[in-house]
Parts: sequence; C-alpha cells; structure tokens
Amino acid sequence: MAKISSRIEKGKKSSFLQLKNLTKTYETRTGSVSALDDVSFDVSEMQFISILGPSGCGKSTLLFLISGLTPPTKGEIILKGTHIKGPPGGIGMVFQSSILFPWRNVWGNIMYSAQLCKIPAAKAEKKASELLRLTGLAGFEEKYPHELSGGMQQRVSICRALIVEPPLLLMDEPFGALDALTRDKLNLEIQDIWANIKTTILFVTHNIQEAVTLGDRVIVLSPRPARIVEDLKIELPRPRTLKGRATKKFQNYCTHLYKSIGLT
Amino acid sequence: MPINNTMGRIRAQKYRVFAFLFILIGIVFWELSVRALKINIFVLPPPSSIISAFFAKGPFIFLGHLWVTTAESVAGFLLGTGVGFGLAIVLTYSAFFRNAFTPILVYIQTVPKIALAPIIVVWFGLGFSSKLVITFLLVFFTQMVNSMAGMLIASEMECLARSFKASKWQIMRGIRIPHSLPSTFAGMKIGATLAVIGAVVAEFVGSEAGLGWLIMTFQQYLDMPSMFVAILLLGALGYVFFQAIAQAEKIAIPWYLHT
Repeated sequence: MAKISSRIEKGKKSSFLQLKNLTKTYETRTGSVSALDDVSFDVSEMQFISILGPSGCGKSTLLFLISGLTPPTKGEIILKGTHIKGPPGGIGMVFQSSILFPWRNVWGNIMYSAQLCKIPAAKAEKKASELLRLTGLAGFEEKYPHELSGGMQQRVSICRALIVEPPLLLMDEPFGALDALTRDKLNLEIQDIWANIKTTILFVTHNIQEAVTLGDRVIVLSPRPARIVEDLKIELPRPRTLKGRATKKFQNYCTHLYKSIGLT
Repeated sequence: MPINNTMGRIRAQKYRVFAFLFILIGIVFWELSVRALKINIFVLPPPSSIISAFFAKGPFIFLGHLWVTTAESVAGFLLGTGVGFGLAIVLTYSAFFRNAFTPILVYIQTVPKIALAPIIVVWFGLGFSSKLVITFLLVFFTQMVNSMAGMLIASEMECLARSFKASKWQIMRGIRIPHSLPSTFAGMKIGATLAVIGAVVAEFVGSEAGLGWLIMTFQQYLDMPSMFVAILLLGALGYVFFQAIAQAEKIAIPWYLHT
C-alpha cells in the first residue's frame, strides 16, 4: 500500500494508465513469434484512444496485456498507480463478436457481469435500466440474443461491460463485424455513451475513419511485431458528426494516417 | 412471428397425418403381399397374425415384459446420463483427471459391451442389476463425450468472464454447463436408443423376464408372430423414449431450438 501511495505522490504527472516497454513473444511450434515490441505510451483519464494498425499486427495482444489476461514477456502496465498482474477485475471488455449468452435474455446478459462483480442487485438494476435507455435498448429486456440484429447484440455487450462502471473499457474491433451503416451509427453512439458515462476507452480498429472520428489520439502500430509508428493528437471539436468527416481537417488527418500506416 | 408459428404448426400437423398414412399404407401392403405371395408364416408373419398373437397370448403378458425392459432401460439411461454428465464436468474442470482418466475411459468404451455382458451377468445375476450395469456402460460414454464437447467455449467468452475475475467453478457453472446443454441433449437422444439396445442385449445373455427374454423364448418355439409383437413393442419403447427427451429439450432449452 505504501508503495502505491508513494508512487502517486511522487508522480504528479503520473498518468491514469502507463505502458512501459511492453514486449510480447509467443512460443509456437515453429519458433517464437514476436507480437509486440517495446510499446510505451501513457493515457490520461477520460481519454478516448484509437489504436490503429493493419490486421494481425498485435493490436488485440496489446489489449489482452492491458486486461491482465496475458502477462507481457517484458515491460509493465500501471493502472492508477497499481501494477497489473492478472485481471484486476472491473476492466470492461468488448470483442468483435458480441459473445452474448444465448440462454440469457438481454437483461440477464447485462446483469451477468454485475453478479460476478458482486454489485448489489438494486444498484445494478438501476444502472442496467439507465444503460438500456442510453443505448436505445429499452423495451428489449426480455428478448433473447437470437432475436436481435448484430448491431443490437453489440450494444448489449457494451452494456454488459459498462454495468460494472469500469474505469477502463477495452474494445477490440467492436464494430468490425457490422455493416458500414450500422458501424457509422454505432460510432456516433459510442461517442455519446462515452460522454455520458465518463470512462477511459482504448479502441482497437483497422478503420482509419473510425479511428479519427472517435479518438482524442490515434496510436498507429506497425505490422507484426507491433511498434508505435505514430501517436497523433486529433484536434477536432466534439461531438463529432458524420458530416464532420467531409471537412478538410478530418480528411487531412486521414490522409496523414494512410501515409503512416504505409498505404500511400 | 405469430403468423409464422401458426402456419408452421398447421403444416406440422399436416405432415403428421401423412406420416400416419404412410405407416397405414405400409401395413396394408405388408398384409396383402404376404397373402398374395403365400409367404410362410415362419418366414414373415402378416400383420394380422401379429395382432392376433398379441391378443391370444394375452396383452398383459407382453405388457408385463415391456414394463421390465422399460424399467431396465430407463434406470440404466438415468444412471449413464448422470454419470456421463458428471464425468464431463470433472474431466473438463481438472486437467489432472482428464489426463489420468481419459485413457482408461476410452479403453472401457472400446471393449465391446456385448462381449462383456456374459461376465456382468455372472457378477450381477439374472435380475435387474446386471441389465442396469450393461445399459449404463452403453450410455455413459456417449453422454460424457457429447457433454464435454458442449463445455468447450469460445476463448473470448472465457476471457470475458476472467476479466471480471470469475473463478474456474463460476465459469463452469455459469457458462460451460448451460453452453453444454444442446450437446448434452443430443447425447441423451442417442443414449435413449442405446439404453433400449443395452437392456435387450443384456436380456439375451441371461435373464428371467423382459422383451429380450421373451424373444429368445418364442424363438425356441419358432413363434414368429409373437416375436414380432415383442420387436414392435421394443420399437415403440425406443420411439416414446426418444420423443420424451425431445419434448424435455423443448422445455429445457427453448433458446437453442430457435437459433
């Protein structure tokens, strides 16, 4: 305990989340594969960070390291002054597929994480109704996952992550499996949600427009092994709109990112 | 949605009428062809002689033996399903037990149960318990393999639970077990038919009652119509057994049948 508090006192500028020299190497039958190489960056509280990189570059590995589910080979992760070793509990995760439980209805799926985190029922129920209203799912409590569209399923899985009021939300290409229109719609919605619930979001994507629309910063990773190519601050006014994508400034960011990702 | 359901139900009822009609046509065809071709009753008895054998011997004799076989197969099925499902939980949960017990369980399964039946009858006698053991042996492995397959979950599902600090047991109870129910029911459907086979085989090897015993007894008198009565009753038993599981599945996991 003393160690933690001294660190907080010492680091006046110590950030909400710090990644220091993160390296991850997987041992496979054909030898070792380097997924992540010396990745360091800081995240302040309430920031929305887009992590952009080509498919299979190790973006997901990065999220799994931060979640504490996989230990890094080298380096350290410090969340609110505490080293992450194993899942700290209470970090929200959303994956590309909604992975809802087909045997639970919408309400039951959302309450699942609240039950695991032992949130008092009354508080969880209030929070769940609030989230359902926020995500436009009010009235769908009794529906089962197979009765929902892909976009709605993903909204439910976002609610399931948010009900525990996570200080940090990790999203691994959450809209990657959705059609373009639903994706645009959910981009705006997640911005609203983020503004409402005030949490820090790390959002992995390989879609440049999505990264710029959502992020306060866009961190660009190189192909495997992932290294940081660029850490770009996006200074566009909020709330950002789809119309805003037509502006010169937005386009410039995208062109710039296309370059740094190596596509032009 | 409601319109589709009603339409579906009406269509299902129509099909049921057809299914019944086909059975009726089959029976009439069987009767007529046996008579027209003058087939010896020792080769293939016509349906009419099977029905009259049923009433001549007295329905209560057949139904009494049907009850014996039913009790044996249902008891063996319940035991096999319970143990199979329990083993699936233990072997999925613990890598130690999985590595330690899988080889011997597979070996038990690969030994033909029919070869084992005479020994089991020696050990457990001619009565109910030897039938229970053989039926159990036939049922449990299929159940175990099916349930275990259903307990495999997507790695994201496990990660999600672990990110909320779910324990291994919480993941088992909250995710793996409900996730396994569809394949557990598939295993039970196969188990229901295996259970009837197990009971009859056990009765063939050594028994004092049951439809299997009845078939062996009538064989000595070459009483073909009565043997057919027993076989048709066995078929009915297996059919009702299977349908009972299918109905239970509809009630237990409605979410699965819609997906």
